[in-house]
Amino acid sequence: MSDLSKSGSITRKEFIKKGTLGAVGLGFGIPGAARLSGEEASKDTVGVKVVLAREQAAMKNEALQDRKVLSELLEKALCAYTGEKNAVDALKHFVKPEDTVGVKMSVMMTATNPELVAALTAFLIALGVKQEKIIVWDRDNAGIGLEGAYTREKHYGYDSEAVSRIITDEATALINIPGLKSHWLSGVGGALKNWCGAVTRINVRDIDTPYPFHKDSCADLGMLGAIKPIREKQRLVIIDALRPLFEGGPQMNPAYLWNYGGLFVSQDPVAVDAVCAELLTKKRGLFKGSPWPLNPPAKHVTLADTRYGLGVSDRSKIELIKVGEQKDCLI
Amino acid sequence: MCLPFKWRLGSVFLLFLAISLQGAPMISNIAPEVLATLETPPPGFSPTGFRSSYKSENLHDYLNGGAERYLGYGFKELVVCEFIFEQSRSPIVAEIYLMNSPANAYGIFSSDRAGENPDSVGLDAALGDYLLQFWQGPYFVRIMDSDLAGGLKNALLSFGKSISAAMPGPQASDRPEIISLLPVQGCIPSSVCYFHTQNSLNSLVYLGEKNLLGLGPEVEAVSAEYRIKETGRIIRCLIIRYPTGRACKAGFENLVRSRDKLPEAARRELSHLSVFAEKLLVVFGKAESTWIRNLEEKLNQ
Repeated sequence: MSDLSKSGSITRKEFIKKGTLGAVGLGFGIPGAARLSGEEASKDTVGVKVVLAREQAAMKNEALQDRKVLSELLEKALCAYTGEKNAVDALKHFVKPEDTVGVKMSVMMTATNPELVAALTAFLIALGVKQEKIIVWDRDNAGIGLEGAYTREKHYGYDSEAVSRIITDEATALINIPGLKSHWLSGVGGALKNWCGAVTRINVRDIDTPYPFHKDSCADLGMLGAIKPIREKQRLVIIDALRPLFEGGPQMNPAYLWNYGGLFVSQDPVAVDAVCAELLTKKRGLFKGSPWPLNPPAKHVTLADTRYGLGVSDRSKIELIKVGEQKDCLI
Repeated sequence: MCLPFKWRLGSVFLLFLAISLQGAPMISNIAPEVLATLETPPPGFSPTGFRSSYKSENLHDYLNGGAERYLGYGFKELVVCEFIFEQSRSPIVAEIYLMNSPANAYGIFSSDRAGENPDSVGLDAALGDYLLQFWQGPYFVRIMDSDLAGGLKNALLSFGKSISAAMPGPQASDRPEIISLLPVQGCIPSSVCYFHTQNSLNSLVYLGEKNLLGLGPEVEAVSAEYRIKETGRIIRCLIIRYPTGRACKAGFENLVRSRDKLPEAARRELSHLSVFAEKLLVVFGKAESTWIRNLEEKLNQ
């Protein structure tokens, strides 16, 4: 279970005291809580859990272009997370038919699998979300509905605080769906890092930027997830771990990809990143035949918890539910 | 006050020149004969028409945060072209990086060399199932089966050879001299990495945010791992050469002073530090004293 007292009060005080995020409103994310408002929130509150779904069928290279296989895997993951019997009912825990849903994928290097994004979009449409109200995007390139999984030629621009207008003006719900990779600057690229593609005016040297998170191995990446509309609208995280990268990144050497065939689902971006960092570390050790920690370590995951109150990073407080193929699970 | 006519005319001329140059192609520093290998690829490869060039100020557009790796090795220019390997209709992406020296071309290559060494291309090469990397002269080359279709190792190699043939002949002396200081016995060859920057060091062994060792473009460093025969354990050896003995001493003293504040793994593993004029030796993991002594004798020469 999450420590709500910590994340609901103490971390908020620190937030106000630090005043580090002048451009950021005071989000009130409670780790593990459903993002639906009002009654639904209390009814749907769950502990901090992360589901990992894997299937043999998803471990083959051909599966990466097979929407049916990926649909089934995604449904398995969503149902395991919510206890529902099908993906549409599962997604109703997070999205309403009248929502405008921003689906934030990653496109640069170790990209989110487009067929996976298409599978998610199809489920949203089946739920009742209008196609024209599903915006699939990364950076300032967006596509609408199913087509958005493959082609993104619309541009919504950014607001005065350098945040994508998809987040500020369009979406009422956000689904965060990155591809999983190690990263030579931040240690790991998962849910927290995916928001780099939702803001502009950032640079590695942190010069003249509203979001100076790069120093100390991107320790303050959590500042992006703490941006008020992101924090409030993010309903669900789905990590594409079908073929993750475990060394290097963002530039990819395929020697460090492996067909893990997995999807992670959670409402807690910190928890899911913590589990993913553990997975990559285990894979690295296995590959090398000796301990091979992530270098640099993924400091931003812990600090997203302790400094920004975005979720739970303590692995002992995260319930990992594994469904499907267990062989070579590593975690 | 009114400017003389010829000054006004000159200003107008400069304005037109500036406007016209905005649309002009970037002037390349890559040798024309090397660029020609992308314009006329080997038989079996057809250009798709995608071609892009980058210099240090816009490399981030292509590599995002990955650009920092290259910038830390004196990156000057990148040309990227896409081809179709006709036999399988597979897309192939060829990248030619021009670095500011052969030593730095070696360096960027050494930072990731997963794969077998085919020996027949570049001065050093790494060939995996989907990616060929090699370096030669001041160039570093990546040729990738970008769809990960597989079965294209020979194709990647043949393309690589055609590019290599246009480059300055490989010279063993192009490798940075500092790597000759590394002991040979027990060395894991793929672990040898030449570098200059804190980011590079942190990707090998994480020492934290502060640049305790005073790394930078004028400092040369090499890291290598060794397998201890008796125990099977791995140790890491760092040799850092500074421009001056004073800079070396400062790096040494910083590390000694900060030892207790190092990240836990580095603090636990740091087992040896010694200085030899402008050279600093750092060892992580328990190494035999004879091994250390032999290495120190070499560094002392």
